[in-house]
Amino acid sequence: MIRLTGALLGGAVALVAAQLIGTALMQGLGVPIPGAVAGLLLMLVALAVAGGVPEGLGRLADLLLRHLNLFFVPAGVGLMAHLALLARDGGALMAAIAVSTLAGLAVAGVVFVWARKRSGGVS
Amino acid sequence: MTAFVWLAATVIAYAAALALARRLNGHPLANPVLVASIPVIIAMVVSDTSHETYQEGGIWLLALLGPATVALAIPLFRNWPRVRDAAGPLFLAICAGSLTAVTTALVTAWALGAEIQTLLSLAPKSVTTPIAMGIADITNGLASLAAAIVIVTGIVGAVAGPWLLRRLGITDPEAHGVALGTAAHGIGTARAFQEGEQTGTFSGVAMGINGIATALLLPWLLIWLFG
Repeated sequence: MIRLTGALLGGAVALVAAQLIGTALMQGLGVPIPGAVAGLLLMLVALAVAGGVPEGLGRLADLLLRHLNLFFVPAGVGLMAHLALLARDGGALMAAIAVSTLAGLAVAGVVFVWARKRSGGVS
Repeated sequence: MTAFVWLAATVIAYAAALALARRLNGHPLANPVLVASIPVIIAMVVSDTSHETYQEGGIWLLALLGPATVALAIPLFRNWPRVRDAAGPLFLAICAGSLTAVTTALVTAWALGAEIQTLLSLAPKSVTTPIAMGIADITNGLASLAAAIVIVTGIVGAVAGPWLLRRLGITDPEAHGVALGTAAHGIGTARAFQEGEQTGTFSGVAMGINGIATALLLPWLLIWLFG
C-alpha cells in the first residue's frame, strides 16, 4: 500500500515535471505549442530511453485517462457564461460548428480506412 | 470554502453522469461532460452563483488537463508499433480531416452571414482550448468565443461521432480514434478512451499532431485569407 502510494506520487511528479519543462522550453523557443503537448513528447522520449513504463506512472496515467471527461466538466459549465456569445450571428455559428465537426470526423475516418487499405494493411 | 463546495459538486455530478453512462452501456448521448454540466448549471442558477465563483473550484479540475495530456504518452508508448505501422494513413487522415473541418466551418458560417470576427474565432475549432485561444489572439479573433466554440465542437463530435462513423460503415477502432481526435480534440479523445485503449491512443495521437500542425500553420492561412 505504502509502496504503491509512493509509486503513484512518483508518477504524478514525473507528469507535472514533464509539463513544466515542456512549457519552459516552448516559451524559451517562442513556439506557440502548449507546454502539455511538448511534455507529452518529452515523456515519450523518456519512456523510450528507460525502455518501459514504471508501475506507478502507468497506473496513474490509466486513471487520469479513464476520467479525462471529468477535467472538461468545468469547461462545459463555463459554456453557460458564453451563451450570449454562442448566439452571435443567429444560428450561423452553431450550424457551422455542427456541419464542420461532422464533416471533419467523417473525412478523417474514411481517409484513414481508405489509405490503410491501399497500403495493404488490415481493416 | 465555496470553491471546495463547487469542486465537490462537480465531482459528484460527474460520478452520477458516469453511473448513468454505464447503465446505458456507454451510449454516446450520455456524454459525461454534457450530462454532468447540467445539474451544476442548475445549482448555480438556483443558488445565484456567478461563473467566476464557480471557477474558483473548477480551475482545480481544469488544471489537471495538463498532466492528463502528458499521460497520453503512456498508452502511446505501449501501442507504439501499431501507431508506427499506421503512420502514413494516420498523417493523411489528420490532414484531410483537419482541412475539411476548417474550410466547411468557414464556408458555412460565411454563407449564413456571420461576421468576420466570428469566422476568425471559428477557424481553430478542432484543436484543444489553449491552442485555439492562442491562434484567435494572433489572428484578431475573440479568444473567449474561440474557447466556447472548441467545447461545443468537442461535445458534438463525442456525441454524434461514433454514430456517424458506424453509419458510414467504419468499425475499425483505430479509425474511430483518428476521426475523434482530429475533429473533436480532448473531449473526443475522452470518448475514444471509453471505447478502449487502442481507440483512445489513436485519438490522442491525432489530437496531438492536429494541434501542433494547426498551431504552426493556421495563423498563416488565416492571415493570407483575410489579410
